Amino acid sequence: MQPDNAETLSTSKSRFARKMMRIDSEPRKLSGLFGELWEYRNLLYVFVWRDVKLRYKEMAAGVAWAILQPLLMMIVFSVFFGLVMRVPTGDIPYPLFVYSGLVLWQLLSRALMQASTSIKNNSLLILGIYFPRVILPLSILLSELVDFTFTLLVLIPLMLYYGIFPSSTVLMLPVFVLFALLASLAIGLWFSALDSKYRDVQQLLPVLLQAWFFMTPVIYPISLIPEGWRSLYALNPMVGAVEGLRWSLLPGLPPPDPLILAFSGVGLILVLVGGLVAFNRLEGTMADTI
Amino acid sequence: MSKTVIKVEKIGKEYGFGENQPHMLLRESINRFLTRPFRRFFPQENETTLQDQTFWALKGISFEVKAGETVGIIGPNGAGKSTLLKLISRITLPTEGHIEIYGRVDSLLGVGMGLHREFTGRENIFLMGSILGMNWSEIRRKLDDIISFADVGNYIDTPVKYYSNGMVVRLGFSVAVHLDPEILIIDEVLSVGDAAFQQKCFAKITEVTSRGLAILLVSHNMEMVRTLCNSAHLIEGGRIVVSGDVEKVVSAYLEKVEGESSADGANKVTLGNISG
Repeated sequence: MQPDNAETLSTSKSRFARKMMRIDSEPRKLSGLFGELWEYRNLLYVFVWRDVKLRYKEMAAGVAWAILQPLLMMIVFSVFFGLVMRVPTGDIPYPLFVYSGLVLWQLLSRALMQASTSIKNNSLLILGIYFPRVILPLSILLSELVDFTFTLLVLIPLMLYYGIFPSSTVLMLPVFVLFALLASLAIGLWFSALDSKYRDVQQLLPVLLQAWFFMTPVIYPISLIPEGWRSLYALNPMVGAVEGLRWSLLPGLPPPDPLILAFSGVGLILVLVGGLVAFNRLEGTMADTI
Repeated sequence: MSKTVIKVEKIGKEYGFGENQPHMLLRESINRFLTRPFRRFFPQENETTLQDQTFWALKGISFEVKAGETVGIIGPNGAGKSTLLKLISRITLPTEGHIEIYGRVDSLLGVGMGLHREFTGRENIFLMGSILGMNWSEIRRKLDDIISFADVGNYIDTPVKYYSNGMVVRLGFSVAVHLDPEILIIDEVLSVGDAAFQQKCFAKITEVTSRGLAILLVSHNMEMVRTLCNSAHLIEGGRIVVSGDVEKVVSAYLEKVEGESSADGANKVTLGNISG
């Protein structure tokens, strides 16, 4: 009715939906997902900012909470696997060996536990307004990085105590953290998408996490796996991530077998692409089933 | 003529009792998948009939909304009004047909109003602003206007889950009209506010529509529909049965309701509410 004013509205800048958007029965293309994620990056930031703010409202409590669990696990595993069963870890003291694996494992398991319920926990928001749903599991992953940083910092006094100093390989650390993050994202996408549709998926996750833990060289070195089985074993993306992280942090360890890293990379790509496709397919009608 | 901002083309939404039923069990799905090859040897009638049952919540809906227009959607409960708004808001995808949207959409649907219950009022303003693609400085510039219009006082830094229904609606509406969407979708929610707030809303709606905002409004309050809408659609059983001039559509609806209530005296109470 007011064409002139309609024009002035459209001049407001920095908005994304100027172009026509078409809604039909087809789920959006995977390439469209990345474009949309970029458009909604501020929303991702809001979720992460708020989550971190809540967690670290009381700084000391937040930090203590973040490092308590991996520290306790380190003590328990050091007693049983280090002292009692004497798992061979070469020149690296067992507590250091197990803790360096645990920091990465904690990142994965915490992110996964929370990401898997992220769709259902935000069902009112999902029923209320559209935004790319993948932002929910993704934001949890990013805020877990803060906890991860604190658990990682604990390694410094631990290494000093054992008189071990990192070398230049520590620069490779972010690569393996990213590796573990993407693995968490992949499985997080699978579980959050399935969780929005099936109400018994949550019972599966602890079992899967436990099995996955034992299939990852956190509490034992990869050398205990028979050589013929190692490639298959390395399809688990966390194998490459943990091996690489240990090598980058603890000098004196041989570099990880490139074949192991390659197999883990393939495994990672498989679960990640699968997770993205599955999530993308279910996203359009998530609101009907949550 | 103004430009079209929403174009709905023959959309339909089918709901099933099988795969798309809420709260399915994964183990049932797996079980069904694994036993499928053998099922034809052991036909189980009641199972297949339940799984294959579906219904169309909406079918063959087409209409357009132009910039600056306020269009009412009316109809009895369960007619598909809310489903229609969900489809246009992109909250769920249609089964057939398509919708073209030109501009940013903000939706005020149901009790949640698109607000996050765990977030404070202020955090929600940033949340909604980001969903509408605004940057920080744009949101900050509008913050004071939003808070004063919402009139929630000190509660602005309290999580929304502690708000009364009226406060949630006030905040949700205030955020929506101040963040400059081009299309606003409102499902019933304005009836929750008190008379003073409704007046304020009506004035604001007139203001923003004169600037080109298009509104799609679902309401059972016929007075509100008459006051705000330029045109309306009456939906029944998932289909548009009457559309056009708002007076024509409202009276068609009221006639239908009256016809039914004279057949069934118990409905008279509802009629009182609707026409009041």
